[in-house]
Amino acid sequence: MFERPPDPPIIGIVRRETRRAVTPMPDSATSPQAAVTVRLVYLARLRDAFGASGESFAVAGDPPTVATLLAALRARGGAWSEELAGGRAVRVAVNHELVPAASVLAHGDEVALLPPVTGG
Amino acid sequence: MTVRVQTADFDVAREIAALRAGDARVGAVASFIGTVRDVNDAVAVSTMTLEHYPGMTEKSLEAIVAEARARFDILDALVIHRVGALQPTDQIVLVAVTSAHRGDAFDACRFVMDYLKTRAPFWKKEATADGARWVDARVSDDAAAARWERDAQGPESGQAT
Repeated sequence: MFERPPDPPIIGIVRRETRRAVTPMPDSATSPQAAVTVRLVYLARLRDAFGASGESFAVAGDPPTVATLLAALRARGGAWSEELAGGRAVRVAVNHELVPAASVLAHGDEVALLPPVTGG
Repeated sequence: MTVRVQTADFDVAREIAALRAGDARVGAVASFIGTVRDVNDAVAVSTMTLEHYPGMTEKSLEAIVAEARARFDILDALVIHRVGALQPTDQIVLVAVTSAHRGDAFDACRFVMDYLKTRAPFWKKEATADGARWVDARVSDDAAAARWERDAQGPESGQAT
């Protein structure tokens, strides 16, 4: 019998290790070497406000985080600065998990911006 | 433990019968059914459209049911949430829980609904005489979910602040 190595701790590792291979995206004009390209998803009210259901976006920052992403989107002005202003209750999900603003983003992440939920 | 997101209506009697079928340990079934009202914030509503975030929705409902199972002594649970265009009086959501005794069944059913209201990625858009509007989240929903918090770890992370 082979000695089976102990399972790695689950928390914080699954998301990175299960990520599928990502086709490289063309570098955005705004991206320094640290930028990663993520797939943004806009839901419900935010989709209406931004006039799109999502886009591919190069997030800069060292490291690129949810916070640097939101700051870059806010810098577009208009509906972006309005909807993503501090105090507006927008949550962020990375690959279907709610994450805090300090979360580091990786190439190919699906990053969804969620207004407050109203189901039930 | 079953979670379904669907456009079709559901038959409560059939769903509950299936949930407790053949399980003689069950002594209590608690259920909640949410339905569409024709008035919200004093404005008449003709159609309510429910949208969700496929992929995350199922995952979050499963996590809520798993949390209920960890907290309460329940035997099984079912969550059905409809999406798409609904009319006043239509059924929106069913939560049903089986347990040996009523206390855990009642508590788990309420817990699942309270968490669903604040954590599952569903959004309602109402059609009114003045046009369509996204329904605002209610502070009372956050308060209802917060009652169940055992620690400070909540859904507040990831705010755009």
